[in-house]
Amino acid sequence: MAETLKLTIEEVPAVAGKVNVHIEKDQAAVRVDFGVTQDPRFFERFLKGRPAVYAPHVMSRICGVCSVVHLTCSIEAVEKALGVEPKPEVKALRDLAKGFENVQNNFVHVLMALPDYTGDGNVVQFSKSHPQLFARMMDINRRILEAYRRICGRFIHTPSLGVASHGKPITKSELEYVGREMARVSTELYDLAGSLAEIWNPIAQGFEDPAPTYCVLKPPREEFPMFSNGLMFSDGFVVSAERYGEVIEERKLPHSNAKIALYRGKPFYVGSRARMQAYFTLLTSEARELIKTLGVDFSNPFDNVKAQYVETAHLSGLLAEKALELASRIGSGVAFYREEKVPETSGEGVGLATAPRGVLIHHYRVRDGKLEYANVITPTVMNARHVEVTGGALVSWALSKGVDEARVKDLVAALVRAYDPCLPCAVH
Amino acid sequence: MISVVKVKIDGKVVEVEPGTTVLEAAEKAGIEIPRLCVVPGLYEGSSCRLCLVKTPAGRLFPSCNYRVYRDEEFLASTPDLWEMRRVNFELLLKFHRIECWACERKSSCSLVELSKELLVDGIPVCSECPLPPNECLLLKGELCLGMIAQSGCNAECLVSGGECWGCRGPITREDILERAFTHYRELGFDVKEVIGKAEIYWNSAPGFATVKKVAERVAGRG
Repeated sequence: MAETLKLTIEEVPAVAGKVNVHIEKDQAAVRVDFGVTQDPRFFERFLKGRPAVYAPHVMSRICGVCSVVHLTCSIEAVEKALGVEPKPEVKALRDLAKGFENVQNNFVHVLMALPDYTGDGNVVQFSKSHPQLFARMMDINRRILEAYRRICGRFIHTPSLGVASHGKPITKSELEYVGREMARVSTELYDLAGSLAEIWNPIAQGFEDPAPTYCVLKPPREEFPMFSNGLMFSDGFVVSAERYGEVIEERKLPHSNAKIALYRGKPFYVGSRARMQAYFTLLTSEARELIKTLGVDFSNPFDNVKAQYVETAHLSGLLAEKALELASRIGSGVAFYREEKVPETSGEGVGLATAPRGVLIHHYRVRDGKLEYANVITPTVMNARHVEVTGGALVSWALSKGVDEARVKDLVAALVRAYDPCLPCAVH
Repeated sequence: MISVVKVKIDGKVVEVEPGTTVLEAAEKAGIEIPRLCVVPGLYEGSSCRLCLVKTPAGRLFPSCNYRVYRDEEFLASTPDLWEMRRVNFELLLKFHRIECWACERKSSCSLVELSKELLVDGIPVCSECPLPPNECLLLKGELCLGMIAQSGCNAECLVSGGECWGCRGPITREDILERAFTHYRELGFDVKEVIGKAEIYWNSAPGFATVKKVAERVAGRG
């Protein structure tokens, strides 16, 4: 085992963006740097002085992959700040939209990350070695997007979602179509799990997460939450949305353009792995069965991808139920939910949303309808420090097992991908 | 008397009766030539000059008005012809009072179609908006930038239930802008508010200075 080691993995590709990872080993200590090279765009700064109702539209542009979560979380924050209460149907439609994004994003990430676990290396190779499976997965993705299009319109930067309004007219038959289609998608995902479990090899079996603190949204009801008014940590600590600043602090490190977030000075993680543990009792029995089928080991950070798959399957079933429930509330004909005018009041609001990659916080202060202060903390920022700590432990673990350098690089790259980092979001 | 003549257009040979126009021959050969003015049986055309074709020697003429009596060859889709058509169309469009937001025939407008085919800018997003004029978002008090924004996106946001933010850039023709801003004011919008929204996408757009100039002029009218 080498005393010193210096490795650089340039441009580890993630779903959105890429990241440079530097590994440095000196004696026993291993340091892993998660270096985001993408430039910040100062979204929080340039919204100052603009009408608060513009915030969702602009904040959505932080990321094209997970635009819906920025959009909806921003809407929640603006509504809280302005003291606007949307109609229950608008809220339900927003929940649906958010759920769809989690399903689609997580599913696509499973597809993109799967080659790490099957040994194919990349998606193109994976599509060649498992053509039927790949075609089926692509078809599921297409159907999820098509269902989304029926109720919200365009998936990227959805224009129909707005402060206290849902611009696209909704019909009962379309909601019923969405309900049926998502139920079918859910069944298919559970079906697919068997064949996936066969090719889904574990990575770094036996490796344990050195910092097992996580954070999720506190469920307001006995249901998988999309939005909430509180955060919940794995040590049992619960904090309301407005007081998130007391426990989560953001820091800027010199090696990265993105900030990092710490919980009481310590790293923590967010994402599907955290959610599947915290919401285990809220899952359906099929989803719990699926956890067993796939053999998800929650102490292994690589199994975040498996947790994403479980979440996708569970949520598509939940979406089907919700869509049908909403359809029963809407009578025949077309329903419009466009708000006339949003009041220009003052206030402060914190929006919390379940992002595909973890917990998203949007915090605004509004004076006379104009935005005065904005702060966004994204899941990748929360995960950044955890990746570094886990990466360090992983390198030591691998070297102690006699793994060669090239394989260490692969392992760390796979670890970074397992967190599903979103780099445009990280810098915002 | 010859009963048929052979016309060669863009390499395609088609047999037609003597006295047929080149435009008709091209249609028979399946070659699309844009036109605005010709109405078969009613008006012979030769006014809009969008159907320009040329001989291999380079002689130009409107295809709607040139009749063939012997075997001849023409070119109908060279890049320079398209460029000339585009310029001619732009000049024609200058005389059109563009007010798509109030126009009832926007879904079947040959000017809008041609502007897309010839890649001519200056048609507002309203031309592609699925909402009829009496259901315009502006009438409901929602600030939509469709009137002053460049079209070409098939009004994606309006189709999905949102309003236009002008992400494709501003229209720079002052007469359209003037009518649009006047309309905004008539509907009770503050011109400053419109510019504030437009700023988000257009702050560094080349035509934004013109937009602001016109907006100030309209606001200054009191």
